[in-house]
Amino acid sequence: MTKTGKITPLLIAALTSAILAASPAAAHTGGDVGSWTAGFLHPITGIDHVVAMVAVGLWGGILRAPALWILPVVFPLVMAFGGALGIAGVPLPGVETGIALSGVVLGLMVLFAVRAPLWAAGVMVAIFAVFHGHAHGAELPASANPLAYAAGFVIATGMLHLIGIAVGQLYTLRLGQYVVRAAGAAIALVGAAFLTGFA
Amino acid sequence: MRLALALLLICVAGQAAAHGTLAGGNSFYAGAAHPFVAFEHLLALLALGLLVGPLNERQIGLAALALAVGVLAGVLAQTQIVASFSTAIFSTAIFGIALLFGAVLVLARPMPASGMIAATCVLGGLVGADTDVLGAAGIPLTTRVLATLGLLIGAQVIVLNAAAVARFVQSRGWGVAPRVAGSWIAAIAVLVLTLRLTGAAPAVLP
Repeated sequence: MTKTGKITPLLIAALTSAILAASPAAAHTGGDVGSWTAGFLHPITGIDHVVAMVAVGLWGGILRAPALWILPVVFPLVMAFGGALGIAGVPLPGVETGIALSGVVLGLMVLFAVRAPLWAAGVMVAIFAVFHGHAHGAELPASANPLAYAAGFVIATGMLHLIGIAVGQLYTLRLGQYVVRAAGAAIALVGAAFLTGFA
Repeated sequence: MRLALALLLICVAGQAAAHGTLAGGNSFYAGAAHPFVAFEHLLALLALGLLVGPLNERQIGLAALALAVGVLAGVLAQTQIVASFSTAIFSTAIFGIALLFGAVLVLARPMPASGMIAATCVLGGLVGADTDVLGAAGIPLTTRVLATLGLLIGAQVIVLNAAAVARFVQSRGWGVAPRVAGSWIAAIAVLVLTLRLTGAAPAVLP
């Protein structure tokens, strides 16, 4: 942290490292923790989810404030709406296609550093969030403790956004711009692999 | 940077394994622990703390008082009037308040003071009424009083700590952090309320 209290890339990188290096809290081994763990791992273990979440943060890093924070605020809320549709059994066609497409589109936005208007970026992210939420929501009712599961996957999603934002801070550096845009290219490729059935 | 390094050291520290379990635990601890282990209580109380954190000290004091009055009223109501009610309705209402507080956090618009106090009082009442360690028949008065005291302290600890965190992050220029947390809280509440209303999840959490 600087003396002025501003968020710096170094600070974000240190905090992210701390979060990732933390030991598991194993005070309880019951169903609540099992559901929490299942929910937390659900977005993390699905690479198609991971790349899209990280891409949201990366794109926010390119767009800078206020998009930097508005996108990660919008995503969980709209994702919950999609999750509610999934829980209620409302069919949503092409969920998996939408998720894969989110990786492709958001990856391309990062690769080409597209400076979309805030409203357009928000709408795009919100549409994709519905697909991600629906996929999570459909699996939620089977959980032993749905609250623990929901809390786990919402927080894991938020953490992935924060990781994307942390890496996106590199965009303020000349070399970092190549790193961020290369990450966008990789994300688009992963999305394309899911879209075409290679993954 | 020192703060970041301190956080890093805290997070990579090994587990403290002095106690395998929380052995025993009397009525006071049962009451104090309840808002921490009842997820819906924790969620709503955290949201309340984040919401009141940026307010001035007098307003925070009023919110703490309203919460205490609400908890006491809820406990009395449960033990005297509604002990036979299913606690599911209280639990679901707590999620509703968590959703309200989460949405207000996201919008970053201050609630009217009267509305805030009323909502806090209602939340306290629901937390008191939903605490099942207090309502069972045959529990001695001393046990109930101690459990209620524990519940009051536990709830206040959550709210005041969250308020302190909200004040700290705001003072560091990270005022957006409570908005992000609010979106997470609202998202969790929406999902669980949907589960409840569609009957896809048990009304009383395991």
